[in-house]
Amino acid sequence: MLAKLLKNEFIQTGRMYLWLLGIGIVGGGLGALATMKPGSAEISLAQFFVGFLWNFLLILAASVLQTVGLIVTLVSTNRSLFSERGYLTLSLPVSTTELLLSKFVANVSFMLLNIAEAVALVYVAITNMIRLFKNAGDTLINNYGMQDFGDMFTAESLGLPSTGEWVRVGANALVVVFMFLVLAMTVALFVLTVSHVRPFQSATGFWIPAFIVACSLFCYFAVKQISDLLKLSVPLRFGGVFGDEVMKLNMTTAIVMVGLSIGFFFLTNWLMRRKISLK
Amino acid sequence: MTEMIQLKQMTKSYGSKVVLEHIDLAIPRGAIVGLMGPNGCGKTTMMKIIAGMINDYSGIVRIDGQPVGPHTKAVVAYLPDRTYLPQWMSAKQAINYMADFFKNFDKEKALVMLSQFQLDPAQKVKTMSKGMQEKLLLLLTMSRAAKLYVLDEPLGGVDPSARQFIMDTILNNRPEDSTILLSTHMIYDMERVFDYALMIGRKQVLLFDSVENLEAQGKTLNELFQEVFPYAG
Repeated sequence: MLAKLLKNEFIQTGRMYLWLLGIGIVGGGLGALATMKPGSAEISLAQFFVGFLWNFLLILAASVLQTVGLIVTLVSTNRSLFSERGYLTLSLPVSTTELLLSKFVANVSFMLLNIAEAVALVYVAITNMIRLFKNAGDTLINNYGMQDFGDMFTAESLGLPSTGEWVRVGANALVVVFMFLVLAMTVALFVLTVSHVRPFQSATGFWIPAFIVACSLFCYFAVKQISDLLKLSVPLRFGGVFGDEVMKLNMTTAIVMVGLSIGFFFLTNWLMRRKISLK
Repeated sequence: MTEMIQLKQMTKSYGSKVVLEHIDLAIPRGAIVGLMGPNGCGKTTMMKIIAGMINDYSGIVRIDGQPVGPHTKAVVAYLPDRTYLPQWMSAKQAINYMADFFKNFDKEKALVMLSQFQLDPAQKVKTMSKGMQEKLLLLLTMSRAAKLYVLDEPLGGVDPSARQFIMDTILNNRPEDSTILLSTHMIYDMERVFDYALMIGRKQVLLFDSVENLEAQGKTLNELFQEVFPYAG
């Protein structure tokens, strides 16, 4: 049954994320088009500003898409479990563990995909900008003979990282983000479930966000305190991904985060089995 | 063991408000049971508990000899009093979804009923009228060869001809030995269909007996309802 649940979850969650991922891909493609140099012709000021603005917006869009993705995921999970659609979901002959696990796996997978796309979008936007500056520099040197001024626009003088460095930093970021995402998703499922359990069922407005903040603070201090207490400072290494100072994750922190995630998962599962009362 | 539904000292409250208190009930297999009572008496709550939509109750609830869980959900076909399908689903997708999860779901039967109900398999739920959605939910429920059908007011808010059509659909599509628990306010129309009458109110089971026994007392269900709930109007 878990396989069937996963299949349906991936279809349903994929339907929502298709839009977000599509917007990112189209936005990135248009950003590349906007910064292309048309043959040997000089780059105009208007072209420079349009290209710069578009790619700047692309970086902003990368973070907006994350927020939208998070909201969409939480709203959809809430609807499918606890609103009218819950009457379908909870009538399925599956255990609550399977139900929660399928939601968790599908949500984390698509959120991770969304984050990976955001990392790629930022990379694309920045390389587009570099190309734009390079083209502007070439135009200044070739057409106006402004060698010194044009040199300022080259990638070397801007001191930006190479593609290889970008990939490595991006991969590092994704592994760390994945660990945080696992904890965040289990906390989110817990908060959603608690908000549908008495006496919190009628709680609205201030209380739900307050509870989310309280859970987040609890996780932060639990991870920090337990990590400090154990004082195991072993950096994680995944095939060389973790090896430098960029986004290093402590082994103890990772273990505590996984432990907390498992704790929240079982607590949510217990609430689902014993305390849920669909309105 | 002959009971399909067994409740022992079952109590359910919403906060400080007790809706059902120390309910003891044993519904035999194969019976068609009419669940009746005034609005807010706990009919829907009882059905939700049996279907596994509500878990925070005290006491014992057993369906087909098992506590409510994946096993009982596999044998219970529940029709709630609201539409529950995702808006983006088409009728065909909804049928495939149910066939995916319920071994006792008869896809062929569902497609035949879909055509009888004059529903377009490709039509999305969001473009269906309320009546069409109700028909779709009914066919999804009745396409299952379930042991127990829990039907929450399937006749609510429909005209008399549609009422007859819905009842015919329910009675013609259920397996011979299946049990039906059906809540309704249409007591007069349903009297001939029920084997048992179950009346709840004031947090208790006020009456549970076979319609045969009740008729032997020379009273119709409607008259009994008026007697048991004189305030209900």
